[in-house]
Amino acid sequence: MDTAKKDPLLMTAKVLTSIVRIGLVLGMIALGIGIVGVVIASLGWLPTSISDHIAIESDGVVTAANLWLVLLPLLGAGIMVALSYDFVTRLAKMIDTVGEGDPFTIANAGRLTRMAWLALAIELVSFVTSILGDWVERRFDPGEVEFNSEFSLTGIVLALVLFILARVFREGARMRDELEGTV
Amino acid sequence: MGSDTDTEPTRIVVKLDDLLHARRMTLTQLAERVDITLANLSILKTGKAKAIRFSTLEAICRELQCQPGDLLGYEGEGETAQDA
Repeated sequence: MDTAKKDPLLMTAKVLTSIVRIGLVLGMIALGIGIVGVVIASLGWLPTSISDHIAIESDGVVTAANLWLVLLPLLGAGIMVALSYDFVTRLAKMIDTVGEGDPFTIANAGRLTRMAWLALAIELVSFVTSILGDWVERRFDPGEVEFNSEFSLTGIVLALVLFILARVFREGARMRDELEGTV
Repeated sequence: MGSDTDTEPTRIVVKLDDLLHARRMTLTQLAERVDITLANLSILKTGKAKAIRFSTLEAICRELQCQPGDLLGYEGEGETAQDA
């Protein structure tokens, strides 16, 4: 669209969200493979050559018996990536409506509400995953296994901002409806 | 206020057709002379407008050399615009 070419902010937003979505899809695929791999390994279905190799590489720390512990945080990460993908997809659709020149719609208000709940959910899963990560770490001797996970208040604030924005857009849509039919 | 008036059609009558005919002007020509899109003038002409700005009213009256009362009428219950 012509407006896109003349609007560097919109173009940047579209490109960035596309890149992020591709990255998230790749992340989901990688985590999916990882989860399947861990399940296979912990069920002892790996060929001995591979499981021996893992045991050697990890100095005997990771064995088929305790590999399942890794599964829980992996699942947490997978859920977070999926939720993030949903979030960025909604955002991409909103950016499209801005490009079309008609952003104040009930649909966008709905998208913002959904994005707010997703942001909250991501923070919650992140919190649970970090606790799981800590728990898994403690099952091993210190320093042998490390999980990095963050919990920040930023996500909660983001969710609040999005809820308020959804209200703003709902009101904007109402005002736009009233304006329609004014000549 | 808004939601009530949405359910019934307005009693305001727009007599743009008659005025255009009297001035021998088409809607397109009027749109070119005033700063209003043809689409909006069409909405006005077909009685689908919900509101009109004073600036629009002024522009139309200027070009068609008429009074607002020549352009707009009110049809009470059981009346036609001509009766009032």
